[in-house]
Amino acid sequence: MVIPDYYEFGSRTHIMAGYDALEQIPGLLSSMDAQNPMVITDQGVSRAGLVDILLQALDSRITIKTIQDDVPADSDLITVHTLAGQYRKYGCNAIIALGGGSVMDTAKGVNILVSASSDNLLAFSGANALTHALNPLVAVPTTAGTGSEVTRVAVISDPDNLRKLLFTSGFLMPDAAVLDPRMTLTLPAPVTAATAMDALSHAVEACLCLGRNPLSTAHAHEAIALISQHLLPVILQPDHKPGRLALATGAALAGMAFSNSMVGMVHTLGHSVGSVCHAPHGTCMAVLLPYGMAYNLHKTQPLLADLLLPMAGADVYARTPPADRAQKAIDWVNRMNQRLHQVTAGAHAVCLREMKSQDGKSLVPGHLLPKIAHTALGDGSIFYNPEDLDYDDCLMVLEAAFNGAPLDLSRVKKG
Amino acid sequence: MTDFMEISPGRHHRKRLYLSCMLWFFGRAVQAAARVDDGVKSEFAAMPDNFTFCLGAFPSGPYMVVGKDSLGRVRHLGSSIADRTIHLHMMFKNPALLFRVFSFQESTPVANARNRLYVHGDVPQACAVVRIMDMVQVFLLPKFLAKRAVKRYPAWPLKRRTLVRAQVYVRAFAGL
Amino acid sequence: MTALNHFLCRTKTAFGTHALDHLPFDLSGMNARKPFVITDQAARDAGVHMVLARACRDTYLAPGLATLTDAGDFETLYHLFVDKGYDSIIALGTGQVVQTAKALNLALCLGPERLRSPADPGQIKGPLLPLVYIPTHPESGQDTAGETSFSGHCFVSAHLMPDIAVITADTMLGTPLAAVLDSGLSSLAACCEVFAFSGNPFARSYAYAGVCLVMDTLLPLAQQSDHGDLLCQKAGKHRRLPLAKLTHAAAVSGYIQSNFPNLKTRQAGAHITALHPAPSATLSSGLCMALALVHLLENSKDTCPWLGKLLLPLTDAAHYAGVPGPGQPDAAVRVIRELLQALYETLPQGMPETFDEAGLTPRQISEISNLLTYAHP
Repeated sequence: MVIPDYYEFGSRTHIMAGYDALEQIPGLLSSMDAQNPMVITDQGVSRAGLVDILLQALDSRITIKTIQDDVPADSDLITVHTLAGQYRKYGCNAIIALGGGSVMDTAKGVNILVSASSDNLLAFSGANALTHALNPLVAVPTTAGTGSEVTRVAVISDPDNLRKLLFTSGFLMPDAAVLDPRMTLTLPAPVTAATAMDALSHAVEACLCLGRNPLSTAHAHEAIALISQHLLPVILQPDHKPGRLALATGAALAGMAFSNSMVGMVHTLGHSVGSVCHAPHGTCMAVLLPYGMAYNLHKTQPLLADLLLPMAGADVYARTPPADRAQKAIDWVNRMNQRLHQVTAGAHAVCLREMKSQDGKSLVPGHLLPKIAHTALGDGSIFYNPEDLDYDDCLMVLEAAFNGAPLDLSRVKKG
Repeated sequence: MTDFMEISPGRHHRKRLYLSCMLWFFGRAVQAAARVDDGVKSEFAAMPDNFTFCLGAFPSGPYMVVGKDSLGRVRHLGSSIADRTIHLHMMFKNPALLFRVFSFQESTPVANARNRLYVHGDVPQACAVVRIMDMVQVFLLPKFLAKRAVKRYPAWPLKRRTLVRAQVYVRAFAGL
Repeated sequence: MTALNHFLCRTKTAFGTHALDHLPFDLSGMNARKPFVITDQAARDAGVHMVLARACRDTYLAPGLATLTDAGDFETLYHLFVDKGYDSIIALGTGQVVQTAKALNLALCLGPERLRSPADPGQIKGPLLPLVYIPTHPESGQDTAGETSFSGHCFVSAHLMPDIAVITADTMLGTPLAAVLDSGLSSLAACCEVFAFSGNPFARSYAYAGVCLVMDTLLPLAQQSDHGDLLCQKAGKHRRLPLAKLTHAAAVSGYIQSNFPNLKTRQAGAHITALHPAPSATLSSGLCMALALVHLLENSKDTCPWLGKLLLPLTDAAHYAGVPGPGQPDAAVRVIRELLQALYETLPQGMPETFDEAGLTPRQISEISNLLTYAHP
């Protein structure tokens, strides 16, 4: 076991994962002396009937003071301030965040304001601006991908100043994360595929990037094994509850891993494709993951080789010569993307060129690649990538990912 | 009976003096490089005017403050953050950790990966500042040290490696 | 995966070089500006508090340092803390130091009366004061577990887990080999049991790291020992680093024990220690747990679905993948037996390898054996 000279690992969220995990929420809230929660969610979750399932599981054992389902796709300051007002108006003393990454981030933002009795979220942006524990927050993810239910980060848009505010603090970790397969049973196959590949990219980058450490690697390997074993079976049988639970668990494990070791160029480029082209985050991650692995191959070969075991299993690992294991891990991700492309009838893209909106328009036009590469240079994750990246490097990788062509490793600059 | 004492940790004066000198010279080198090197110039060009950033150590320095004025000129603004609006703080969590980097025991990317520094401010601008710092370190340090300080030692053209580097040195000493 | 998995670890682990230099910043993030340090005489005599003082140089922190000298210290500690306006606790030491720090934290937050006559010792709601744990040698995992006892009452709550465990070679002290073995074997037993018998992926991840840390360090440390003692302060960093890793493993086992309070190996260890007439120096609780672990694994080789995978943290990926699936449980048990055998050979006074050799009667072994069975999913 290689241990870095220094590392930190912490994940103070109480994880509750199981087939009747939702039923544990009243007990969790009671243990925190919080009986009057507010539910924060979005319209999609509400329409999918997940709020009803939650309420049914709570079975009037606690009083939901208000349900707010107006969280937009990108959490913003206005929504956070509005919801904080609702929290106070209804006399709530806890939050149940039911949704994906945006709902989680919004709930974290609301919790900052109501816990600090403040009306100025900007005062808490940046690192370690929070110095006190917040009010109880229970996170119930409805996708198995972002890992926001266990992370110490919230990203909230400031539309007036056209910027995204980053909040980081150990206090932002939700008090509890409730992983219940009922929340993801109805996810469409392409969304299941994209979110699971997002989680896989968290886990893989947690193992490869500069902040890696033994505890994050252990969590990441467990996550990779769960996602590898269960993703395709769940796509083929969407109501398979054990598989759904395994994916949700894998996503949370990957969240715990990357929250402590950070992520690298897959996210650097993926965030930029998402922000320039408004392309779905998970699919960007899925497409870019093998390129990130290949780009860093010369610096992370033994680490990549280790990933083959949780990805492909002991038999494949044992059969593959040691020198080929790293490349085989990259090939495995490529093959997984192709299989997902097949089983989702082409909805899961395998290259950026193939990413389409619902009306069939190309989401990532080729002429925007230079702008994406430029944007990538401003993403903080770039510094955790094992190999350095400049504008030309970003563009080279993006062009290969755009066309679905293998990365020309001879063009990767080695310093 | 409990034995009790209050610890007065005090200050590490020599290390602080060393860091102050290094930060002072580094700040002047950033100013010099912003005048003569196209790479550094273009990074500053993307920053807004009247933008000020500091590099330092928690909780009370030492600091290096660099700013871009309303005319777009980059200036080393000394070592005090008092009475200034700082738009971007790049802070090491302890002066001892800043010392490790400025005594070449640990590179900036490694210190970052080990969670030894934090940023308060706009992340894209922080990224630009890190790239500027990398370029200035390559100018200032001999290759064997610079290779330890940056993630990938750049393959610069001869002119940049020699003439521009000399200009950076001369201007940094002269404060130009 | 089992029907309901839950896991909670409130502690952030900070491990490695210059770990203490992060402490002023981390304390400020918890609004702690005036920490109260509790230590013991051994750490004080070795000057470990000066390592902490050096980390506080050029920062605003001016900690108070209380050295435990006898059992009547608690009242004094409480009044010192309150009268001088401290706002957080640093436990600089192991064992009694940490248990005192946890009890002090309870007394400060719940009131000293509640501590002495608790209405419901198990129910502790809400956060306590920030508590930082800086160990000086490996222990059994109790320090990072969410429990403490005071005046005969046992308090159990995740809030009792330290907020931060700062584990660094810089604070490691000379440690008797017996204590190192006790810690290493109890950590190994707790982590192996959870890894082999729990389907909880969150616990398994911690357990994986714990097993790896013990396997990397325990035997080399034992082989380096001089006359049964690891005089690491004199011997330099090459011994302090593995000691710190073993302490890390102990911290991990504490996180696990907080979530699995009824570990079979721990119960059996306590049972054997109570039964056995020999002094605990030759049959420590760690050794008892390790013997119990072997017994437990042997009992469950054919029924436990995760036992074979234990071979992975016990060895490495290549070794694990090279052993065919059906042979993995046997191979895992063999690795543990070989470790015990190798440890046995390094010890001048030897140590028992089986319950028989430990002096237990057949009836006692039968009792233990009944204790060491799992209902498998």
